[in-house]
Amino acid sequence: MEEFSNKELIAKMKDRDMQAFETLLDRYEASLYRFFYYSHRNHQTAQDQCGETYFRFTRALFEKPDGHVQNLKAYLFGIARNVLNESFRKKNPVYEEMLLQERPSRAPSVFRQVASQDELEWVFGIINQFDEMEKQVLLLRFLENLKYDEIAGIMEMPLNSIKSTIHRGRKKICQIMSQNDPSGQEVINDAS
Amino acid sequence: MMHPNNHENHEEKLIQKFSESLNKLEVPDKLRESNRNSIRNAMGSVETKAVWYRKKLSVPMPIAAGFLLVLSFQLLLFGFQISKINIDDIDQAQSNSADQLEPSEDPYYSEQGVYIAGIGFVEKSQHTFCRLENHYENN
Repeated sequence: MEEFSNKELIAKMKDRDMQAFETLLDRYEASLYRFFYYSHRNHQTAQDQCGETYFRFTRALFEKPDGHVQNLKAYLFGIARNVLNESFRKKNPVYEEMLLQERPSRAPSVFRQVASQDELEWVFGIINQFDEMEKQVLLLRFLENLKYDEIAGIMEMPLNSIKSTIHRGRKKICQIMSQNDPSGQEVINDAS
Repeated sequence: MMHPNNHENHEEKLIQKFSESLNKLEVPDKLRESNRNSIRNAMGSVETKAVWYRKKLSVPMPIAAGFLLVLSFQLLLFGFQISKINIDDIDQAQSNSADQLEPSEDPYYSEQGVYIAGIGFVEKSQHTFCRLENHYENN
């Protein structure tokens, strides 16, 4: 498949090239899903939120045909963040109950996990050490490797705040990881 | 004690491991189809948004029928008034023409001649008249 730059991709999507939309899905679908899933640990909600993100993105693309999308990845994740925050603000009691669950919701049989359940629990154990804002910043950084200024634009926060959040987050993650490995066993820090 | 560079490398490795673990999570099979549907729905919703002069207006049937009835009545009344005006104008014009002193442009042509048998026309004259009401003026 021919590789298009994001700028070319946007132009093709505006021309209603469905193959361009497939490319968009190939590039960012998994990251978006993971961003949502790690935020609340619910498969169905994450899937719905992915769909909502693509819906809003596509509408914005055609409702403002003369608009320019400077950074496709940041734009898409900006929409994703808004979708996530709106779902939090709705304060659905059922949704809140799911968030409070310590165990993930029952995953359907089609849901595949390359990672073991232990590794998944380990990841969630680390992520849940942070508050919602920090979690989103760290997920944007470590899932999609977004740059600091891109994250600042998405989160609508000053660049220095993003830098300090990521710096503190890295330290904390390393501290936790140094104590426990994915198998849950304590690790003796052999760095010397 | 750990050398600072080693410490940074160690930290970097841990972060990389964390990032890899994050990205190990596979997506559900139905996610792609769900996202495709969302994109199609969005495109469909944008297409149905017509410009203002193509927008459809939903009007209840009784209101539409009443509007058409009133419109028809108005057109009929307007047409009647126009025809009434025309008749009035004609009547007025006719009454005005009776008092008209301005000559009506009605050219009148005559030719006179004197013919003597055996000789032919000895005199011929042509006249064009502008006929006035009860009055002829020789041009």
